[in-house]
Amino acid sequence: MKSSAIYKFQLAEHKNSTLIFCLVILAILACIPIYNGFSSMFQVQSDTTIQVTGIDMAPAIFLFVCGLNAFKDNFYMALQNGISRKSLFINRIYVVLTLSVVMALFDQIVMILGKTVDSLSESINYSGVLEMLYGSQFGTQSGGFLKYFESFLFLTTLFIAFLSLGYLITVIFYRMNKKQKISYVVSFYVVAFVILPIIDMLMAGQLSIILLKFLDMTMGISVQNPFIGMFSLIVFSIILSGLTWILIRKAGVKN
Amino acid sequence: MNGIQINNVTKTFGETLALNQVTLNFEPHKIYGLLGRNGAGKSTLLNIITNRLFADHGEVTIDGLTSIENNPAQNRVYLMSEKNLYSSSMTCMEALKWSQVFYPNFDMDYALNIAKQFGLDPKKKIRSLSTGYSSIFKIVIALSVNTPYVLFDEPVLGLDANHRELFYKLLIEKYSENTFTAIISTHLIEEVSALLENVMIIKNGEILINESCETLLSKGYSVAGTAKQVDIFVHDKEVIGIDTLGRLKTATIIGDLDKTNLPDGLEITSLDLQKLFIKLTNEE
Amino acid sequence: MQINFEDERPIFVQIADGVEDAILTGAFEESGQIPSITELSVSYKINPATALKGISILVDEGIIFKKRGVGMFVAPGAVSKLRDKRKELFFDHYIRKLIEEAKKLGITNEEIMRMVERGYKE
Repeated sequence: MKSSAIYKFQLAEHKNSTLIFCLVILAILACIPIYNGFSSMFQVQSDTTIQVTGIDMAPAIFLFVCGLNAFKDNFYMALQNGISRKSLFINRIYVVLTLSVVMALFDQIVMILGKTVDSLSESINYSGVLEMLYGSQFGTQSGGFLKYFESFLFLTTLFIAFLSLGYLITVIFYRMNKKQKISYVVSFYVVAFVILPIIDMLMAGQLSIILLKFLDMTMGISVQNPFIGMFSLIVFSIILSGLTWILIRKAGVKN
Repeated sequence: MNGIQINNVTKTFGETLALNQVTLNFEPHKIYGLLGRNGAGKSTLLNIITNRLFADHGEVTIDGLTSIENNPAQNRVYLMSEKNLYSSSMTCMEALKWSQVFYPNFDMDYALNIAKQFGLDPKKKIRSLSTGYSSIFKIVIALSVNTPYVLFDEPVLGLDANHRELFYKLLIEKYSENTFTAIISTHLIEEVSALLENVMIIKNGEILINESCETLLSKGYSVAGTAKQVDIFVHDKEVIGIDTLGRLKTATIIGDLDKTNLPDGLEITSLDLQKLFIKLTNEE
Repeated sequence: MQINFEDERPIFVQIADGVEDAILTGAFEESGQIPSITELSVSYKINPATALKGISILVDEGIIFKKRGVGMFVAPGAVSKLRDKRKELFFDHYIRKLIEEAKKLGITNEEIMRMVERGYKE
């Protein structure tokens, strides 16, 4: 009974921001035909097309940020109310699943709306993230329900990964003291923007090619198979969650 | 196996030893005073009991259940900590409502009633509360959760005299009506001394005194007289403090006083808890 | 009644003495109800166990009696019982000391009696 309370609490923490986010996305979608209508009304650049791409990626970024803000308050609330770290973590996983599923469902609505907007006018071109990654099989509505379901599954795993990543980063930060935090951030930037590019340069671009190949392989992009991508994302999320648990297990209240 | 049992608990923070092999037993249905100067280890001990910190060694059980990562055990305890763990963007009312979700025996009517008595506006955000009202907000929850053990860490921080009186009154009322175990960690000893049944004095992470309040007080006395007389009188007794003022010497003694055999010219006075505490915890 | 933390007497003795005083002055009447342990402990902000201990002394002495589920009452005849007890204490506390001091100062029995008479007149 009590451990379901920490599920409710964590979910409630995300409720308002998620609602606002969804409204904003819907508002943007609504703006596209309006904007298009205006521009055709005044005969301005009527031959250009509006490209709307990857609006269904926005929830991934949003959920990443949600993950970044989801640890300290919830952890303290759990400690204050006699909830173990284990219960907090298990219920965190439930929250991640819930949020990801909800957002993936929302994304399907967005996709349907986007395609409707697309069909309104020749000058609007809407494409979802799956269409970009895995080709036109996700572009048309001809795939029917099964394609929507595939896209739903893929987005769910994608969101789980982003949410878990944000959460892990904030947990890492919680466990570190000030000095460690600074050195962590500095070394991250040094590695990502100085050392790796230099190595890449010395290796005549081999490094980025290897990285891109790795990404292509794990996500199944060349072979146009989203299920490979889903599998990799799930493995990735499990690794992230494993690390998170190692860090939460012994975390204590800070003074 | 009832009560909170602390067995050989040691905790270090880097180089500092916060608790050193502490063994204690809090029996049910009593009001305990956990007394100690700042940094003596009171909060660390309370945080270990409530699974907020992990001990390096030793174990804690609550009614026989391990305290570590154990919801049924922690369900029985509520710690009102000096540090506020509620999200500061919540309103007091939201925090009360969540307490009701987390604690099945939380009494919302009572909480709102005493919030009113203290003049706490439940619509206020926690972040906007002054130190005093932040304590009051935490007191309101602590007195309303109705867990068998309620631990108060510096409960009257920032409270004015009227609010402190009100808190003591509510605590005693609650305790008499529906008895529970209260552990009050404080350094405002004089005010709480009459509330306490047992006293634990902690110094540098070690338990110095663990006794019933009455026994402790009846054991301590101070004796004043000329230096020579006092020295003779105390030579076979346990002296915990000496003050000298000119030729007048005052010694604070722990032990039974044999009233039948008092030398002339010595003045005996009893001690209150505050004086005793100061003597016991003074660094030489 | 007042609880005084500076007082040499333990708090439970102060509670017992306070109730005795209230009975002697008639604030608590014979056969009348007295405040409950809870009321006593709340109004003096003392531990209920302490209040109970104080009251138990009076119960043992037959000055207070308990009616299960109703409350605590002053026993009939409590006042005279208390007077007798206080008279004994009066002798112990005051008369013995008075005579001790008088002997030191060489005051005779007759002189003391005269002083007492004078004290009563003033």
